[in-house]
Amino acid sequence: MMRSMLRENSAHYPDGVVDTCIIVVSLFHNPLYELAVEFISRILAQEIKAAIPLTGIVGAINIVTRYLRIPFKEVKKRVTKLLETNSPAFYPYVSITNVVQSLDYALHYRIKPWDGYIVSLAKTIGKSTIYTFDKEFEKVEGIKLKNPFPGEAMRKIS
Amino acid sequence: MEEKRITLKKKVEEWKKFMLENPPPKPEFIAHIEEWVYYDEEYVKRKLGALS
Repeated sequence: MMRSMLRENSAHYPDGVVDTCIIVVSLFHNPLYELAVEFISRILAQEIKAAIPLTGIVGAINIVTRYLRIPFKEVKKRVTKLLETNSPAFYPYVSITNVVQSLDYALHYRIKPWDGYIVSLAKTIGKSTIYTFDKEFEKVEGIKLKNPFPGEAMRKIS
Repeated sequence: MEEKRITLKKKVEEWKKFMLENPPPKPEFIAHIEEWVYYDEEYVKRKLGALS
């Protein structure tokens, strides 16, 4: 299959890659919830041309059900509705190269492998840009971080 | 192409409406970002096959 068909280049996601934490705050009651829904809706509608990796959505489900104890049935309903938009923003591919790179980044920058995976994807398909509020990514050189939420909103949850 | 764009926009608006009209539950016990890295020993043991 041609690489262009797989959307494996930055031409399709010139604005970046969405980190798992952005999805997480759209799945439970918190001060960022409405802002997250608004931001994600702009990505789904391709007003912002960023990739939402499906792996990140699975990660978000794990975080909100295990660590925040949100009922799985509730999360399933919300995630299913999200995916049913069938937006081209969803990035469904996992390549061996990206996984190997994620381990390299994890080792080099002492970050979690799943964060290394987001870094690898950003460098591969997202013009080295990550939408996140996770400061862990600040350890990584050569990437641009964009927090979609204003400082005032962030102060409410920290 | 235009039809696809309109369909997508409609689906996204439906999703957004659903999300805003149906706020999700509050977390049961933690809300601070720093605590999200909380270590779940039982989970880790299960992944290692230490608990059956």
